[in-house]
Amino acid sequence: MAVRAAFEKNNEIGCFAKLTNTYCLVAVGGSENFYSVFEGELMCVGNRHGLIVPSSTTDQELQHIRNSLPDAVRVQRVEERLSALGNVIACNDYVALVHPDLDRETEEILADTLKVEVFRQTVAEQVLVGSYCAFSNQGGLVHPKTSIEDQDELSSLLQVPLVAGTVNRGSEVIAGGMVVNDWCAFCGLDTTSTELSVIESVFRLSDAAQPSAIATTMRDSLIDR
Amino acid sequence: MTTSYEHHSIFHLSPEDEAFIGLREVNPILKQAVNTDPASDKLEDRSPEDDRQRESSLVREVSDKMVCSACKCLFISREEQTEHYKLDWHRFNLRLKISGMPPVTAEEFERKTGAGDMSSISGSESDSDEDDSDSESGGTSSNVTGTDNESSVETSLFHGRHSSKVFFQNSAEQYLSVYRCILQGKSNDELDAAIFLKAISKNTVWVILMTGGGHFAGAVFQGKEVLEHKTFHRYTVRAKRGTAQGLRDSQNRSHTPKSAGAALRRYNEAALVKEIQDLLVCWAEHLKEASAIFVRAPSYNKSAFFGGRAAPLDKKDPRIHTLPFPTRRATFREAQRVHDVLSTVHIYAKDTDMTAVYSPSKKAWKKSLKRTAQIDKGPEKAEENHDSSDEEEGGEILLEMVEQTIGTLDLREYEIYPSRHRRRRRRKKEERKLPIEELSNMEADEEVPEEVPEDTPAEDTPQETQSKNKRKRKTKSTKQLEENADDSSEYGLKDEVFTACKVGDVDALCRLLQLPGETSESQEQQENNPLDVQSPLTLLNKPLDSSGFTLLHVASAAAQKAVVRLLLDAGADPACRDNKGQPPYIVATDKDTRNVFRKYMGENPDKYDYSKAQVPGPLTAEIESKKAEKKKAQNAIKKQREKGQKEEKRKQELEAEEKKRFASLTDREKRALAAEKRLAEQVAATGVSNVKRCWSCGESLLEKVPFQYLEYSFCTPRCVQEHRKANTVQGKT
Repeated sequence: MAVRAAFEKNNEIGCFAKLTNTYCLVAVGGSENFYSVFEGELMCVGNRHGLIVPSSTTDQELQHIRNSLPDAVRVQRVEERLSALGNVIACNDYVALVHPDLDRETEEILADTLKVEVFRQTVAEQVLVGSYCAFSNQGGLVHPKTSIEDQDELSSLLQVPLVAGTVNRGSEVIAGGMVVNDWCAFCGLDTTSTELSVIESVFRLSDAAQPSAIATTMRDSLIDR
Repeated sequence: MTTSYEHHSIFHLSPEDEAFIGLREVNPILKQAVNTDPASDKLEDRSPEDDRQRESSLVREVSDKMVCSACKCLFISREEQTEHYKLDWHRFNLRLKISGMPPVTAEEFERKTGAGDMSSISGSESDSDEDDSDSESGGTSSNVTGTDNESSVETSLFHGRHSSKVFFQNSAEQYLSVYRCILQGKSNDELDAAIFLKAISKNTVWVILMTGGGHFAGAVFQGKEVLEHKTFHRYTVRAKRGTAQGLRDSQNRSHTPKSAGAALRRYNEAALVKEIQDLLVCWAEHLKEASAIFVRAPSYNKSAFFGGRAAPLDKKDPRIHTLPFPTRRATFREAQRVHDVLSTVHIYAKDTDMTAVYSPSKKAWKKSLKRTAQIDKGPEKAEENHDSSDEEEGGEILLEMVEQTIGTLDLREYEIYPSRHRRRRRRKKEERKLPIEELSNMEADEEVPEEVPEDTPAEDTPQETQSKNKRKRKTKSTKQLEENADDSSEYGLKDEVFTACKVGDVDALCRLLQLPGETSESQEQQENNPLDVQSPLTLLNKPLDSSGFTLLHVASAAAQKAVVRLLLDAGADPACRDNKGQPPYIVATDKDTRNVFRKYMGENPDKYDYSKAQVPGPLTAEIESKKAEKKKAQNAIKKQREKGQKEEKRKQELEAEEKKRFASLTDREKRALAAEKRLAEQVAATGVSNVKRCWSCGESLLEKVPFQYLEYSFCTPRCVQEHRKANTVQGKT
């Protein structure tokens, strides 16, 4: 199921929320101490195994996040020059696509904490892979100008089917405009129904809505072995 | 590389010289067949798009086309693919791709990095590393362009940038090299160049104009002769801020700096330009007949030659050349050096390796230039050159250089007078240096008018000198003192007494005050003149300076205990007050000095009015010893208290330690400990500490093998017997 949503009247909900199979981080609203948590949460990247936050995260924020997330989720802070981690890293539970210039150390931490295979690659000649693509364990949406060859390559790399598309009525900043996990996607309010249907189909959200899916396809994500 | 050559002045080589026969220009650059590898395009041609239907993406399957678009390589297995993405080669190619450059093959990359393994580039290194690889990639792109292309690029490169020297070969196959700029015209035509070279003769007129840093040097040469020369200097370069200001001047009219220094600089800049232009107008005919004009001017000074409405030189004039080598400060000597360098022809033997001399690399070229220049000068010139580094007017006499001094009177309003300021400061320093003398001078100024109204400041100086000689005179005899018992001596006496009090010179003070204990001679003198009003003792209780200090005050404030004692003995009243109403006891700075007063009070309780002197009470030896005893007792008590505290602290520590130890024990151990304790207490209560005793007689069984039956033990068999007997009796009854 794909749903439209907005954060504080902003369609770029990907900037204010992080959705994974085990948790969802949402920025604190503007009325509260918005900015302190804002940075820590929204420059982060994560999956069901862990969460990586940039070095600008304060101890307080880290503590808060640690307290809020399930114990199985590892929280790790990294010293990375490219501190907007959400813009330079895209990942699901198994693979991560990263900016070509990402630090070696960060790459290793990613592999350890998120339990992913890390690949350096561009999406449609863009280095900000975290911004221009979004993928779950089921499928992925990439920058609309990604060539067929690149899509093939990325698909084989990430082992998920990919589609080039847009959100928010033509926005190419995919990850900014939507958040997705294996069962649900949230897109900006501007997202057209065509875009929604593409998203639903590529992320296999309609199949996952069946209750039986919990025992079959979702089992892997839900139960730790 | 050592290349031998001889050098000649170009003016000495006549056109008929054999060196010039069959002259032709050569380009010694040997076009080496650049042996680049065939840049084998090992990239797998990506197979023409297979028939795979594009709809597959709609079916949304995971693609099985394992390919890296950045490196243009195919993979057979998933493992191979994932491994590939960890390689530096991939990262390098990704970066190339981002910057829009073609990828390199694995072999090329390996060659480039120079290392066999591809993990040599660490990703976590600094940006400089990346920069390196970027520049590397730049090199790559040119390398990849292919062989034919490459050589053409290189040749065009050499055509594009002329070397500053031009080489000829004559019929004897000797190589000649001269600076390209001395040859007329800018064309590279070899015939032209040879002709121009031959055209240079003893009558050729060259003009050299150099400027920079406010200096200007101009000279007109005909052959080796100097026809005219002129140098001048203007103050246009200011240190530090001046540079920035100069830049701002040229950039923005409205925000020019307005400081005095900036105005000076601007004025001088304009003046320099004007002077240069005036000079060039004077030299117009020389300039007209000159076959070459060599100009050395930094970009911002070019306007002096080429700018303005009536520009003295035309920028497009083919005769104008810039100097192709670095020069030093613009002086006449430097202009001569430049002329020498320019007019030198190097002749190399025919078997010289010209590629070594004519190195295409710019860096290497510079080096060789320097070397030739040095050797060029020869031994007798090297010396001259040596002092030219620190010279400026060194050759003035020899060369009758015209040095023009420019008046800057019109700039007077900006002038600063630092000297006067400095003088004032120096005077201040002097004042500080001699505070005591000054003080006494001040006293003199105040005291003297009181007693001798007709005294004028003009007499101060002799008085001072007298006072300085005073001590000498005093020692001679007091008669002289009597004779000279005028105001000046009075003042001098005061001065000396004051100084003695201040520095604690007891002997001098005794002498000055003619106190008992002095020589009998002086005592007699004093006795002889009992009526002498000017007895130094009268000084004792007189205020000496502006603050109303008496001698006692002075000594007290200076903490001179011996002097205080002496003065009190001599009759200085401690009840005398200064202008603030303070007696000497109060102005004393330390306790010891105050104690001197109190001791004196204890010894002479009735001599002075001590209550008026604010001396609190007498201090005798008795009191002192008592006090010392008291203090000792106090100290002892304090020590004891400290000891007790220490003890307590130690106990507390022990207790705390035990507490900790006990708390760490297990419950069982605690119980055992308690039982043990109970037992020990029991033992203590009965008064028996050793329980290992004979049951009958109570003999200690320690270190003995006891006789035992049942649970009883005994020292001897007799005791056993006794005990048994007793028991059986009991048992029977």
